[in-house]
Amino acid sequence: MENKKDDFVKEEYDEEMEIYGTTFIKEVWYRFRKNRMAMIGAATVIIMVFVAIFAKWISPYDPYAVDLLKQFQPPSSRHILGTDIYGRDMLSRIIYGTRISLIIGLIPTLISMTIGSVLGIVSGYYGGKIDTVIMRIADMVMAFPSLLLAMVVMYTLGASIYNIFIALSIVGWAGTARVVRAQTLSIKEKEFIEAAKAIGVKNSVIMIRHIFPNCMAPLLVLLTMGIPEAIMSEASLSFLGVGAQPPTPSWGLMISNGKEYLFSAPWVAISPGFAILIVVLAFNFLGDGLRDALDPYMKQ
Amino acid sequence: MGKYIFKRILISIPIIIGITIITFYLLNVVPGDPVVLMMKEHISPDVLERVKNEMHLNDPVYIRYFKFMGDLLHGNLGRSYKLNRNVTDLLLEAFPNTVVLSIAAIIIAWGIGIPAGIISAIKQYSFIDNFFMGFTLLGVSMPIFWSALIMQYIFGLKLNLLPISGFSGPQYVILPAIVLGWSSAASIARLTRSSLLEVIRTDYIRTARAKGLKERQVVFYHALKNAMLPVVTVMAIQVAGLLSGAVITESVFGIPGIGRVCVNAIQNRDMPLLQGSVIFTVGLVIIGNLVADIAYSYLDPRIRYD
Repeated sequence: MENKKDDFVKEEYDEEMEIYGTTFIKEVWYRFRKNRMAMIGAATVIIMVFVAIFAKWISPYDPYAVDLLKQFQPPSSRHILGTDIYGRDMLSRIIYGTRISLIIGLIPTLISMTIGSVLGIVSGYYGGKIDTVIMRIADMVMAFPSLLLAMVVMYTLGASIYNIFIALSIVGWAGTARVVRAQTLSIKEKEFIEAAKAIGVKNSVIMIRHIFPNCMAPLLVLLTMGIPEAIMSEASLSFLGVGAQPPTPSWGLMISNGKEYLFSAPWVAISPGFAILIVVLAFNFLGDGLRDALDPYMKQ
Repeated sequence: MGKYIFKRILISIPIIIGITIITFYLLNVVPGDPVVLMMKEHISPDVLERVKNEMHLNDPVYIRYFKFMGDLLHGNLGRSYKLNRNVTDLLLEAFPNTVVLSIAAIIIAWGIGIPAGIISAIKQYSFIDNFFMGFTLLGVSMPIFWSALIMQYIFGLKLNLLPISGFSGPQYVILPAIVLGWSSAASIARLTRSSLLEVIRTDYIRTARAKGLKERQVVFYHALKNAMLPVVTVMAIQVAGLLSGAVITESVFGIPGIGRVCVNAIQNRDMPLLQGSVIFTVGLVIIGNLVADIAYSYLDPRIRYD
């Protein structure tokens, strides 16, 4: 009897969510579509993803192929963006670099957001001592200039791409935790949470099924804003020599290698920077657009 | 007010302690023996043991931490492995350079950011608004080290106007300050714009307009005062941002500041120097936050009751 009643409530609830969900997404899409810059950003991001996936077929040369006879060739019809100190084709390296940048943008951001969401929801939902402890640790992490903390972590772990994942995850979770906590605090006072508690739903289920979905909107915005930040951090770490190691075609590393020859072969340092600029701009436009499109609901 | 300041200072103490713990533990669990690193591999085991004992490296980490904290309270941050000099001295030598660079960058950031934000807000959606917003967006989206290289290339090499590296006169500050200030200018301009736009729509501004004040008076005497409140808080974030940016800017332009000390310490695996410079920098950030919070609560008394 109990179960049956529960199922009935659940079904009706799901149904309502579905209708609500489709109209919500439709509405967001409608507002998003009208924002020209956001659409340009989204299109650029999609193109970047394609470039990353099909790098092997798009790039004209092997990005690792060393040809010392072709050292520092200026941009020409054969090497559109010229070649670097080892005669490697810059365009191919930049194309392969898209892979690294997107992976570095996405994975650490997802990891740090997962950690941040769990801690944020737990912190906001339970309050009290757990809340104090988690938030004070978040305060400490946020007091560090993020690049500095990432540098310290990279010093400890050693410079490599995988350690960048860890470093950026450690740096990034605190911001998400704060946002999710604030969102949780306002949601847990709502009537539907009270109703869920009244019919005896477990705390863990309330947090996962009822509170977390309501944090999705700000999380989506945080994700699109976090990706360019992570890309920028990776580039900075690699530029300083504590990130990706040669011969990885990381954009930051390529700029770092090129800076020694800035005056004799400026294309080596300059061209990867445009790639970073385009990706970061695209994600920022996308994030801005998403935030504006989702905003009316976030304000409620 | 005094009570609030006192409370605010009290809150930052556990954070400072927490930061020393995080930094100390992160840097002291590093694999690899610093003594071996210092003296290379050919070192006899006896000497190794003796030096390690002298440096208290055989003690448990928590005891080393308390010893480190004790020294820290006396202003002693240990000795650099590589340079064999007092870390505090090295940092105090580098600090004035970072301060000069940061102040110059702040002047540029505020000098460009605030007027750009005000003009953009007054002439919303005009060409000049789009231009400023595009220009500032470029500032936040460019990696600092890349814009630094481009500046070096254009002003140092092509136009031959300014020196590109070193720190021995006022002309050496200009390029790094522009590079560092540009990204902060962007956030200030955007914030000034959005904040001013919000204030301009409020009732008291409509009243000011209704009683026939000139537009200039409305904007500068009435709107701007309230609009600048959130801009003041950004100061705090900027201290952190500037010091992060200084790490990169200083290494590109060869400025012997705290940021460069930090990068060199990492490259030389000089743990005490890195530890000292990190704690020093984070300490500055916390003081910056504190000052901004207090300034904000002074300007806007409502905030104290939150």
